[in-house]
Amino acid sequence: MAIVRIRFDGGEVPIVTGSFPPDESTPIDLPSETDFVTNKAFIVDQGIYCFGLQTDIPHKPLWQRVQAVDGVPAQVSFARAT
Amino acid sequence: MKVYIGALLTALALLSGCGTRATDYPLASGQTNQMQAALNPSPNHPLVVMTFSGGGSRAAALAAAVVEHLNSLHYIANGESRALSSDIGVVSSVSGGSVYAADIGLNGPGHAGNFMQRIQDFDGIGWLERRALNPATWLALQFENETRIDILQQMLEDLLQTNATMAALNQPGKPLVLLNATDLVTGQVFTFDRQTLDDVCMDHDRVPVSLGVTASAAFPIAFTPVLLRDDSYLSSGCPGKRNAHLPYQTRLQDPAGPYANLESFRVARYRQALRNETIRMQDSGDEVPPYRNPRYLRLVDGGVADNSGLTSMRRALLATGAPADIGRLVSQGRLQHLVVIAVNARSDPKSDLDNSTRYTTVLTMANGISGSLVDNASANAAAVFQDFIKLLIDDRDTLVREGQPQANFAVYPISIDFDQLPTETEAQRQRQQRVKSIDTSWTLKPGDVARLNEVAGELLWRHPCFRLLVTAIGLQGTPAAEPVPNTLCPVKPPPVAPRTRRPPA
Repeated sequence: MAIVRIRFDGGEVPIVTGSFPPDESTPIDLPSETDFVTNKAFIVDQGIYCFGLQTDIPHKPLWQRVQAVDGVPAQVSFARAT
Repeated sequence: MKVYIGALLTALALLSGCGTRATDYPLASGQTNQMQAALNPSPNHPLVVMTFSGGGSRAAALAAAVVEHLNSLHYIANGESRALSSDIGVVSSVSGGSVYAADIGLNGPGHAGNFMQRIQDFDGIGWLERRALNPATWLALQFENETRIDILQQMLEDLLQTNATMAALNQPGKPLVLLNATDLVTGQVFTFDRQTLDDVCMDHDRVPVSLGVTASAAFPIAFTPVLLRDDSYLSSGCPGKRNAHLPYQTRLQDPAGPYANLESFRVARYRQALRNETIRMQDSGDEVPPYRNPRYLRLVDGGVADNSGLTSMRRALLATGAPADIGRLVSQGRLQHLVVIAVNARSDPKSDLDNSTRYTTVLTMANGISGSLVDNASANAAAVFQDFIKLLIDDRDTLVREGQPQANFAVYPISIDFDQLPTETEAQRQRQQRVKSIDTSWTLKPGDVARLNEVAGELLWRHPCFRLLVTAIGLQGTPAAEPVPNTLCPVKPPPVAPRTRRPPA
């Protein structure tokens, strides 16, 4: 079990997951809800994930690759798009 | 015992049809399988998850006896008395354990006593003998393409007194039941849940519960495998609308997948094969086809892959977005007390080889090796599960340290295993041997269920983690045994003690 923290300067918004989109400008197709929120660490199984945000706030990037490792907290950030 | 086994083998030999009909409940054009609703336990109640091992009628009766004891244990929540059995959220089972798992899934934990009576009175060998001697059975085997496994399914329907479909399982207020079989070709665990049946393009709600139980209990060689057709491989593809939310693909799309978590990579690869999908690689954009094309699946006893049921339970708790995803429950503060009860009816069968120099036949060797492989797989699953609990506890501590008080919870891993019975005296050793020798062949001797019930209560009350739970939530019940002296529950307690409830004076 590994800890992941996803930071977002737009506040607490739901995190979604899905398969990797073909490029950085394409959002996750048919995302699945995780019930996790940004700026609050959560527990997942060790492995590779593609996380995105479920929010109307424009942000970048649209998705992030995360490798969750047992005992090594992973952290990625999303930022509001200006 | 030998007479029983001989009778069983004779009955099975007489039932040796050679049918090749595949079972199929295809998802109709445009139809969808509703996905399993998420488990949402109240933070005021413990979450109890249970695994039921293989071991035929002995395993089924032991599992029911443990649940019957949970029926008699109560605590106070919101001013009302509540049975601990009401908090059973997930049940994962294999082989014989799946027979009772189906019953608890269909009828709830309150039916455990009735099931115990039913299994005590049921004569499985007699049932098979009657079918074997019935000319109608020979005709069905010869002309209706039936096999021994069809006969087993009919027997289990009779034992369970139901021909309900999976639609009746996993309803609100009843535990989420995971019936596990083994894919004979890959050795992967095949779980009869909504997701997996959707993957093979089956209409979940039309699949008989008895099919899942039969596949889970299809002891290899004695019974033919359950043969399923995978409609993902129809020339026009699956006609139904399968679940399209597929985060599992990330493990296959990324070249780091097999390094980041080899087990979840293999599970994802298996899913890809069941779904007959191509995967687009993230870096190159290459399309990768399934590693195998299982147009037909041969399912045998779930005990072949893991006779404890722990593998499927761990996966159910681990998968992000799954109904019982533990990460979500922790994040939402729904977990204060996680109770894991692993019921294991394993025995140490006596062997003539211990005291003999006689030639070791191929059959004897095959029997010994298959038994050792099953035991090793189960021991490995138990070790991996223990590791999972340890990692979960470490993460809990980190989250609480970082200021997430809702992530604080206690874990109570409780094993029910005959090896934990006292064996200091000859009488105790004989008693242990007596329960370990209880038949697995669906014909129990008078008093067997009562013996298992007595032992179930004793094993529960002796366990140090159960004693800890009793204190933590103020569980009320009649102790069936004294605690083992000077023994601690071998799990790190939470950084902050979860709310303790005491029964009113």
